[in-house]
Amino acid sequence: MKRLGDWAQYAGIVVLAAAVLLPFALPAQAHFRWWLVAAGVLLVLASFLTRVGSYRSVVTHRNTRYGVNTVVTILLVLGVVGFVEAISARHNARLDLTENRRNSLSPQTIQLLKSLKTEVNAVGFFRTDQPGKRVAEDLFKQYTRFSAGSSRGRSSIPTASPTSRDGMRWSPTAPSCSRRRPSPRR
Amino acid sequence: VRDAGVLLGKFFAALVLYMTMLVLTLLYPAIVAYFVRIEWGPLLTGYVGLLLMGATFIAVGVCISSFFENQIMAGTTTFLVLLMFWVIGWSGDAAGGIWKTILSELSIIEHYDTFAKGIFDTKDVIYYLNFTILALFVGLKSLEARRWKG
Repeated sequence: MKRLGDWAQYAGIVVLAAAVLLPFALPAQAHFRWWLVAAGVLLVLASFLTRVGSYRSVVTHRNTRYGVNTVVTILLVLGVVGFVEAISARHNARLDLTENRRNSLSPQTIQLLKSLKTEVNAVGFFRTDQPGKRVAEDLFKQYTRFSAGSSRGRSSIPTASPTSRDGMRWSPTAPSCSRRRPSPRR
Repeated sequence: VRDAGVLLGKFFAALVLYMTMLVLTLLYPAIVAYFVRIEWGPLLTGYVGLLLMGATFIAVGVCISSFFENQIMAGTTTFLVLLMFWVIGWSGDAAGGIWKTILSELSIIEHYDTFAKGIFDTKDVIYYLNFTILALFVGLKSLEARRWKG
């Protein structure tokens, strides 16, 4: 029985590894990945079930109990930290201490963004080493923040020229904007 | 002496030393300010950012040193961990999509950029405080583990 459990564990690990590699090795068969994950987990669980007796003494050991307790506590604190981080990323306050507030939007721009009726998509094309990329990204974030979701921006690496179908004009330094009516599907 | 006392004592001792070094660098803006007018806002946010980032570095160092007996191992591992959190944001551009956001949020240096520009953003302050608290907590648990491991 123990040997059977060992083989089930090895097979389970191999199947789980195959599930990880499948989308890279055979992208066309990637939809089978979750079946492989399920089969791998079942095999590993089955191998554990064959050894319940031997695990019982380990689990009741004092060090194991304290160790599990420590790991669970750390995971809980990690979860709380992640939660606080996610909340703070969405609801942050920003204070620009530069004299002319050069990193902030002007009141006119904020008013304009708040009055947007249609969705605005802005795409800027930058090289990764271009200094203006970071400035544009920060600008896009502020636009999104003040427009309450009507405006979205992203910066892209110019791997291909944007098509005229998108209504965009490519400039290596300045982001260009296009206004579109919201799609009826949304 | 309790474990928390040992950990916090080491952390704050290193932090005070770091703050002393930071205060000494104020000499340079003072010299510049003597000759020309400088913007104090970005200088202030820059120093606050350096303090928070330094506190995070020290907390990670204290945490990792609690895992090792050997100081060289602790120092090298701390350097590697901090280096990983430093460069993790660089791979964000290659990853794209949601991964770009996640990797940028994890990067230590990305959060300092806003401070360097003269912006005080609660998001970045909370990131450094969270990181510091988490590292100190893991360090505390590591110290406690030595006791019950025997």
